Amino acid sequence: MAAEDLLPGTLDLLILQTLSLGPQHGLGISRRIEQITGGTFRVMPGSLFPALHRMEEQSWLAAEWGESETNRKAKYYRLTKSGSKRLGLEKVRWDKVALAIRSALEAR
Amino acid sequence: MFRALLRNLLRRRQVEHDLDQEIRTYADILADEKARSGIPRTEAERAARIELGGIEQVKEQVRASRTGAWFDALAADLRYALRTLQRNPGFAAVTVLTLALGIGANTALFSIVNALLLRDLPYRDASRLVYVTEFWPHEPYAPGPPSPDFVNWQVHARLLDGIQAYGGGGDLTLTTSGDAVRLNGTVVTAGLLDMLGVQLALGRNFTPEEDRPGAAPVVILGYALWQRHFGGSSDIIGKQIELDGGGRTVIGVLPATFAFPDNNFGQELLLPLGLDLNPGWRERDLRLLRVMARVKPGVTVEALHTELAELVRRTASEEPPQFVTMRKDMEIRLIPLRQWLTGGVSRAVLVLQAAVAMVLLIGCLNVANLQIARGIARRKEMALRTALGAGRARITRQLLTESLLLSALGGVAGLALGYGALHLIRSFLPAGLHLADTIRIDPPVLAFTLAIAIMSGIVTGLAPVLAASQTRLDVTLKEGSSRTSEPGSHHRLHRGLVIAEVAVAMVLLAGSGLLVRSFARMASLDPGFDPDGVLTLRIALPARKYATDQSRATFLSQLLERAAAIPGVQNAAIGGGLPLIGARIRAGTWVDGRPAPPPGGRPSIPVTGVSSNYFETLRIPLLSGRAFTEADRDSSPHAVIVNRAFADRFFPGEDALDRNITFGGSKDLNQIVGIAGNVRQGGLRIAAEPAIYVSYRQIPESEILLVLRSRLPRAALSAAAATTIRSIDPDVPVYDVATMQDRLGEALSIQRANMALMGVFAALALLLASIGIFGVIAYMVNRRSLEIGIRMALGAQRSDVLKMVLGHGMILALIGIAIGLGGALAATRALRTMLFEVSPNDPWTLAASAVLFAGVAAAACYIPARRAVRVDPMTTLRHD
Repeated sequence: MAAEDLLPGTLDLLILQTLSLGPQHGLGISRRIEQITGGTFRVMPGSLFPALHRMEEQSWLAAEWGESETNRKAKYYRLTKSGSKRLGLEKVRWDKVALAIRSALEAR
Repeated sequence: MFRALLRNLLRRRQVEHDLDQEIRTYADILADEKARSGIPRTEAERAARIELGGIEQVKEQVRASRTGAWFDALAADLRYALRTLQRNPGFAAVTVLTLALGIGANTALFSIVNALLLRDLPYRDASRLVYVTEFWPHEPYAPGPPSPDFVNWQVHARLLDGIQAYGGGGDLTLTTSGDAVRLNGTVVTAGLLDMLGVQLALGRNFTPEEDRPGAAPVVILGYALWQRHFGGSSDIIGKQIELDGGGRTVIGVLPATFAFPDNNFGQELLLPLGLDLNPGWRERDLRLLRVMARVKPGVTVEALHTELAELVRRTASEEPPQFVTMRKDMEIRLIPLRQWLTGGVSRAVLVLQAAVAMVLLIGCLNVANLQIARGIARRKEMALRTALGAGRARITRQLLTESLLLSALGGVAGLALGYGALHLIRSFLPAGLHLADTIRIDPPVLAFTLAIAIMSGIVTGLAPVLAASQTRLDVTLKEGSSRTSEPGSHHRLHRGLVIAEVAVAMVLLAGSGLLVRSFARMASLDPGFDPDGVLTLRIALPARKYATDQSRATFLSQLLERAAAIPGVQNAAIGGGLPLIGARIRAGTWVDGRPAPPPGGRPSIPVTGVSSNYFETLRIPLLSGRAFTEADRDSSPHAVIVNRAFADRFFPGEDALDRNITFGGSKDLNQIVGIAGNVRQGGLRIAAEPAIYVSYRQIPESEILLVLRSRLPRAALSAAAATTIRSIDPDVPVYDVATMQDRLGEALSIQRANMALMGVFAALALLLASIGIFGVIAYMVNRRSLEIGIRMALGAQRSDVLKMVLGHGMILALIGIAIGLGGALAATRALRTMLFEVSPNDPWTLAASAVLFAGVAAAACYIPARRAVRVDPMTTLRHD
């Protein structure tokens, strides 16, 4: 499933969750999302980078330049305080949505 | 967020560089991954690029998501608009100039409207201040409330937060180190300055005790006088100054910003009014006052009017009978302060503001028309852009950006023009209007200019947007020639705009025509005297030195004798009043022998004391009887001369000559020995009212005008006259020196200003509308050159083509003129108070304006029509 098919706001949730595990660069984030969703979601750079830049402007993420495992100069994103807060909010919201959808599907 | 916006805008290079680096790293790491899995390096890099989906595309997506992305689009639109305009400098120049003229005129006018009608008055909480007056409905002259009414209100009225009075202090003579200066003073009640919220620059206000008869004499100085005569020294407080020969202690100085809220009163000196409030005052002290009140918050002017009128009715029984009869029929009128201060010009200013708004509207319609013409020429460009994927919103935004850029340039140029025009327009305002000093371009005016610039941009940008939205892609792209017919809707919009322009301009032209005719009427008016070669000087006899009638009469006869002896003076006369200036005295007048009306029921007639050759000097014709002679000195009955209006009113159908009249409090009989022609006494606008002239010896006034008829140059004559007066008594000040031509010009000045301003705006409107007609016809000729060529090839005569093109233009013009005439019939009613002896629907003026407009329109059509007939059919047909 491509990231474009996600519910609105879900990409933000996935990125925030990924970064709560530790700082990461663009490709790393994309790979980790693939990993933790069991390969369900693959985030393409055309959606990933606009989302990263937008969240950085909103101060949920901070970025600095660092060295990648292959010794390349990469931009590493990490969660800020307001980013963690946002993650908490997004999780609650997601639970609500998921619950609502499940009960909708189970209704007879 | 804001920091992000700033960073995106200001550190664009860094941001862009980082973005590039980031995306490239992504691709590199991706390639590293693939290379690790065994694919050759070059293959891995290629695969990574493909997976990435294009570095530039990703960057573009990031850019679009950034804060301030709109700014990039705007910058691109602006750059594009600038390039487009650079390619069409003629179009850009005409548009910017048109908008600049419209916006400039509006800016200048609005700064006046703002100062006179919108900005806060320089008094505390001025919206609650009202001017209170009382008048007789049949009298043009409003005497103001009598002092008993004022005191009554001050004590009993409940809807007020204060009511205060003032009055003319007359001209006072200030003597400092032997030099006599004439100053304009005003007498005020002790609470007036507090009620207005005035903080003195120095010293203190009058106390209630100082505002009583017999109190120690004190004075408050005006700021300018303090600076001019006392060097702005703070030592002045407590000092004595010599006023009219008596000492007065200076207790305060008015602030520099103070302007007395009554244009008729001076602010060089304030003195206490000194009203007598003792028991029995009603019999002793009867004065006519000017009164200003502050209403309680939430109280309407109508409610206050009811209360004041009720109080007057209630106390009538306690008042002495002669007072009750005098004030019988007097009506109270309350006028909010601002309305009263600007009453004379607010109508004219609003009418002119409406006129310049119309000029701007015409300018906008013109520019819109140009834009449509260009839009049609740019149809291909627009169609191509649409075909390449630009949405309608994107194209609309681009067209609006273009017109807003134009209107912004027009706005900046207009602001400069408006600033320049401000001085010019201000010089047209009447001299007494002290709010005129506050006219300036301040933030509200700038906001107004910005708003009208943006509005003009939207109005002028909307037309091409509308035109562009009607474009059909398939049709446009397939079109070969650009000179064949086009969608009818464009034509309709085009023509509709020109008709609207002409109609609006027609309204303005008709309005200015009426003002021109009013001015012509007024200027050609016979004022009843000959103003050529007459110099007038005002002198005032100090009250203490010239306390008796005898002493004043002696001075005046001496003055007459010596003034007549000045070499080059043909006639010298004196008068207590003058044409256009009016008389200082009015008296209740009756014809002897007729049943007497109740006291106070006698018509109040202006009385002027004059020397025997007054009529000869001013060349006022004596219609019958004779002028005054030396023998009239102590004759009994006194000899008087009346004007024709007097004779017509009191002796209709009879001979007034030799009849006896009484006036004033005196029972003395006055015999009419002559009847003089009418003169415009109260100003040019006011028809001659009845007037009585008496010999100056009968009423020797202390303030008098010396009238000299001479061919001498003005400066030499006034110097000689001043020397002569000083030779009789150096303590007598001379002031208000003006020729009768000056005074006449002053009386005409408001009418002239209205005419000139309206005329300029109407001319501008006419010019713009003609350019509009010209543009449309020229455009039509250009577009239809193929058709014209074919017609001529088929044998049409040049005159046929000329007629056809002229006809097209004139139909538009005539429809517009007809609509405009209809509009003018409705709109010129707003001009009524600015007109003089001309009806707002004056058929001659309307017809003349329409003919003038039609002529100009025909000229505007003729130029492009000439070009049409010069078309060589062969060239045209071969062109495509």
